[in-house]
Amino acid sequence: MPEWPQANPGMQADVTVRTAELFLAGNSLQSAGPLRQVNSEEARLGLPNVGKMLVRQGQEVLFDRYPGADDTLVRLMLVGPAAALVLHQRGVLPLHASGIQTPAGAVLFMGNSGAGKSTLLNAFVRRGYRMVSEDLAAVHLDDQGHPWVSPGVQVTKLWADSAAALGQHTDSLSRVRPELEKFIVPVPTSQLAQRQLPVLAVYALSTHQKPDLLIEERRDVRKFNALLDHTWQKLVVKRMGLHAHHFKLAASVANKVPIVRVCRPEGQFALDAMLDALEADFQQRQGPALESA
Amino acid sequence: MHKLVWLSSYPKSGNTWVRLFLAAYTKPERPGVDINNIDMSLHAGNRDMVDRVIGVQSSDLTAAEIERYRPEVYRQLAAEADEPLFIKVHDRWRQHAEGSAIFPADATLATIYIVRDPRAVAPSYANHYGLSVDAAIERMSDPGNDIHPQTDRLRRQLHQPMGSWSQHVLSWLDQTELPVLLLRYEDMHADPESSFAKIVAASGLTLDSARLSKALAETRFDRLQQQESEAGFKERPRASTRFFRRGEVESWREELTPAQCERIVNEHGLVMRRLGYL
Repeated sequence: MPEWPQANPGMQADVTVRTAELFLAGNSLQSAGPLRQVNSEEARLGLPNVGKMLVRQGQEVLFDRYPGADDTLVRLMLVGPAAALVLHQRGVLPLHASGIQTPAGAVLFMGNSGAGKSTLLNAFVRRGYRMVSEDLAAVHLDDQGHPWVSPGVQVTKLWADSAAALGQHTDSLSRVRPELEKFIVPVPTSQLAQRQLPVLAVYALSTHQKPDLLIEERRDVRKFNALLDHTWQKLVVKRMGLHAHHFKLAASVANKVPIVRVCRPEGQFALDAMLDALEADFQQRQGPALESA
Repeated sequence: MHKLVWLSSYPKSGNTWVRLFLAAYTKPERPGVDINNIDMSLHAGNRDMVDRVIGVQSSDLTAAEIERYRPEVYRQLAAEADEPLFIKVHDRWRQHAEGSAIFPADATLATIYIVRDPRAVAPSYANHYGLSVDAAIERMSDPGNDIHPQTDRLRRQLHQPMGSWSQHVLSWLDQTELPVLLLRYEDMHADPESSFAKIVAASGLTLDSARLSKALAETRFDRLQQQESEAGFKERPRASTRFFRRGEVESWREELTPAQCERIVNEHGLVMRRLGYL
């Protein structure tokens, strides 16, 4: 799994992933469609021609791989939905966000696909910041209720148009899939965050039909809604009966760290100006005085 | 499992009108229709929705994989739905490479196909995509006319093959898996009460004429236009100056040149005749 860091020798595994033959789920299902079956104990997810998997107790992933399944797709199922469900089951909030390390804490960029998370992450790495996460940011609360984020995957992906905007040559890069002009962009080890970090701020990325970039801290209930909405596997969580905890976690994060709405004009990505504006915004924010969790 | 109502049409044929109407009709307690703040049904080509259902990000998948998964996404939505789900579609009806329909009959409650005279679609299509009328006519004749075919960048919508206007109409009307309620925009315009009553009935909703009249009044074209002038419309594309343009049935007579009309009739005459447009 090139996406994940190698465990140090002697470390105990938190989660076991193994292959197994999976049979149909039993009764008491809250959802029984072809792609997922969920009850309060476990979640089963499948993809045609790839395989099916069962995630339970926050510590076990069983994978039943179909003959001829593409390795990349198997990895995507593990890095994406399996990881998100394991985190939910462990009481950790898996946000759809990329993240960077700043001196005052981690800054997360949250949003749908195409919102600009990877572009901003890569651009800030070029400005010298360390990478914390791409796509999935695992956020948990410490004993004082402050949100921390753990380092996530160690690779970033860029579409050809974003790579061009960043001046990133793609000739020597591997493609995510042979058919797609989407590339795997390695991040030097020296620029990977090495430890958990307190979350300084969460920026929720979107576009609007106005000409200017808007950066505005959310102060109402919408900051909480933004976190709920950008949680991985939130529909499954609801059906697993974990939504009460999910709500509580999202509410705690929303109350502890600023949730800042960032709207850029649709179809435009004035990247340098946006980086400057975001940098100015997070640099003036004070993180809490915390010891490493 | 039969929970999905497909609202299918070529672009600029009245789909948004129907979606706004259904939003107003199904939520009568709402004080009025705000075009920018209304849950207006799902969109079959919405990438974010598909990502949430399959769990893996579609931006890491090939076009063929996405085609293969789409029917399962819709089945999953149907399996989890408590009430009918209205889904806007601009794709043409088709099967994926393994031979199954993209829009599965076993998850479908109703299919509503909205068609509009292609001579009226052309100027509206031109405005929507920022094209000349001639270029719009060209696209509407192109079997390869797709929404978002590019592979070098991420688009918020998935790749949606539409084909030419005639192909699109025939793909939906001549497939044999889904019974289709065919509605002409022109008839909806001439007699909204009876056209929209058919939509309500086909969707398995209870027909309430007072609610129907109220929903029709709230989604009258001039009211939608007025809202767009005051606050914009989130679904307006960048290339376009306005989404709710004219909404008229006969305005193509002054907007198209005789040569443009002739081109459309030459290209689509067969299907236009079948639908009573010639």
